[in-house]
Amino acid sequence: MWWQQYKKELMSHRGEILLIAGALVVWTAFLLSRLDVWLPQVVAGTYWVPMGFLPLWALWTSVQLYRQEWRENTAYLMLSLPARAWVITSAKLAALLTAVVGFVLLIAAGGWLVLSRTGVLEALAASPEFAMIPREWMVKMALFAGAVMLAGFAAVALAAQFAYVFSRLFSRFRGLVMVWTWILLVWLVGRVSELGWLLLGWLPDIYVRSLHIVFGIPEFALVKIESGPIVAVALFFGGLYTLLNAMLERAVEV
Amino acid sequence: MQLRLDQHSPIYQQIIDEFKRAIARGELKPGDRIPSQRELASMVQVNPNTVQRAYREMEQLGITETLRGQGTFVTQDAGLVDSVRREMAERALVSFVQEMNALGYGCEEMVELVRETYRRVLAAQGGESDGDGGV
Amino acid sequence: MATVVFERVSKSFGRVRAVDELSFTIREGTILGLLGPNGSGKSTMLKLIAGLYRPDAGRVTIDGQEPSPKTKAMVAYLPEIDYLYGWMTVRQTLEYVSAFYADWDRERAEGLLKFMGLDPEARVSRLSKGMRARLKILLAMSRSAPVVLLDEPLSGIDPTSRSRVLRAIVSEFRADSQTVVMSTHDVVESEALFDEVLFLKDGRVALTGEAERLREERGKSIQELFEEVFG
Repeated sequence: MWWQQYKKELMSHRGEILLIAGALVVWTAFLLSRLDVWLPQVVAGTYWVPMGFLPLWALWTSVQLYRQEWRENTAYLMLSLPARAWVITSAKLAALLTAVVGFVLLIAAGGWLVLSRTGVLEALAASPEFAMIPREWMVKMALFAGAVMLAGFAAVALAAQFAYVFSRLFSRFRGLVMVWTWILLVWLVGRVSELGWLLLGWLPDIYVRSLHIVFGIPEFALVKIESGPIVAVALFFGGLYTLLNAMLERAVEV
Repeated sequence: MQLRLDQHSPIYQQIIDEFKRAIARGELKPGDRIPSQRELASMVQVNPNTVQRAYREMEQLGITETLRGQGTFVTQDAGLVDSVRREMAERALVSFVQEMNALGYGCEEMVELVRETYRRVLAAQGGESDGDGGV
Repeated sequence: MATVVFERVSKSFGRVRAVDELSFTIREGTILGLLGPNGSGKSTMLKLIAGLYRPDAGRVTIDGQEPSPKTKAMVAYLPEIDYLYGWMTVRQTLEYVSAFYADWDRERAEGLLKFMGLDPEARVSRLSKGMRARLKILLAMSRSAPVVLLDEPLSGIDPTSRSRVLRAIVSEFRADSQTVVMSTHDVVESEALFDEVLFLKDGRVALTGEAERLREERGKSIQELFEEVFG
């Protein structure tokens, strides 16, 4: 059931996903062709620009995943299915994140290609500092960054889903309601994290090892990350998700 | 089986009448198997519950009998055809007499007209005595 | 089998009262004809049962429960509009929809696919209107759902498709386990299908009863009664 729903969400956006993937490939090829024309640093820097559009795409597509159901009347099918709301919402979220991960991997692969062709990668690998970085730490940091990025995309997507579904409770000014809900949510996340900092200070903090190379000697330092705001924001999104499911299951109409 | 339902009267009644007519005309003989309820409902696009009611009443009237696991059959009763024929004739006669009476014809006149019309109709049809389709 | 009950149900859209303090119990094991002109509230009634609309006041219950994922598992709903994904093929649609229902009858679906003359590989968006109507009725009747809701299953399609759709309803309807509610504004073709009829006028019950009894008592077809009530 979940699997079918997930497959359906991915398939219904396959055209768009393939188009973007194609565009990324073309973008990489274009920059590779500029290698002899532009400075290598310029090519290496410009390459990452599409990365900036990715959150915007995630935001837009999260709304589209729902808006399309109503616009094309398939909401009649979606809402008449005997599935709990979380099946639908999580399948839509998972489909979006699948696409995001795909794009990020594609950008990373292209980035590796561009960097190695510009010589930036070689220079980096040849530097004595690079040799000092423990591989284990590098893998850990990459995974950590990946997880943070994924959580960020999930938060953006969830807030967008919520804003759209909430706007469906109104018969007029839906666009306005959606935009204001979104703005309010962003503001709320800020307040909630402050509140978490104040009230959840007693929670054990998280420490991340950061690496500094001073005069050719690698040194690790422990960086403290307050867990209060993180836990508060996570709880906030948990609540938002529960509310989203409740709205979809009990209040929303075709 | 063709059913032309006029829908002004109960459909289950029309289904029963249609079977009776078929039996009276000899299109259905005692011992013949008739369609299952589901088959008939699907054939004539009538509610299965309506068909069920018609079949139940036909069984109560002794027109059909259901043998478990084998289906529904026209009753193996020599008197059945006669009695059904007689009933259909009776019904036709009643409505005929009522209509003629309303038109102002007396008994003798009616009989005379029937005789005359009978001869003419038979001559035109070349011996066939009925013209309606039915079962 | 399941009983569907409306208890003083109201539903408005802006200033229009689509359903107005309606109370009604749908008898189990019957086919109910929901009759009335456009805008009389037929479609709204069906959506209230399916859980696609929520009542402003009153209660709609299926076996005592208000619409929820649990009651949706008991309901097969065929809307009037095109509600299927256009990019899916017929086969993909069946696969997708059937994944959600425990009462999906694969054999029945295959039989209906043949009977309807549907090409499993055809894209839904490429199907003619008649073929789309056939696919919709296939989806509704391939389940052993206790409650089947058919919203105008015959409207705007060719005569052959109409006849196929009617035949599918009659042959797949299980009187011992199903209740069917079918809305239509075209009574002539479908009146032989109904056990009971409910005439809706401005969201209220204008006339209701057993179809056969109405014919017997009034000596009129349901179509004639329809014209009498709404003409």
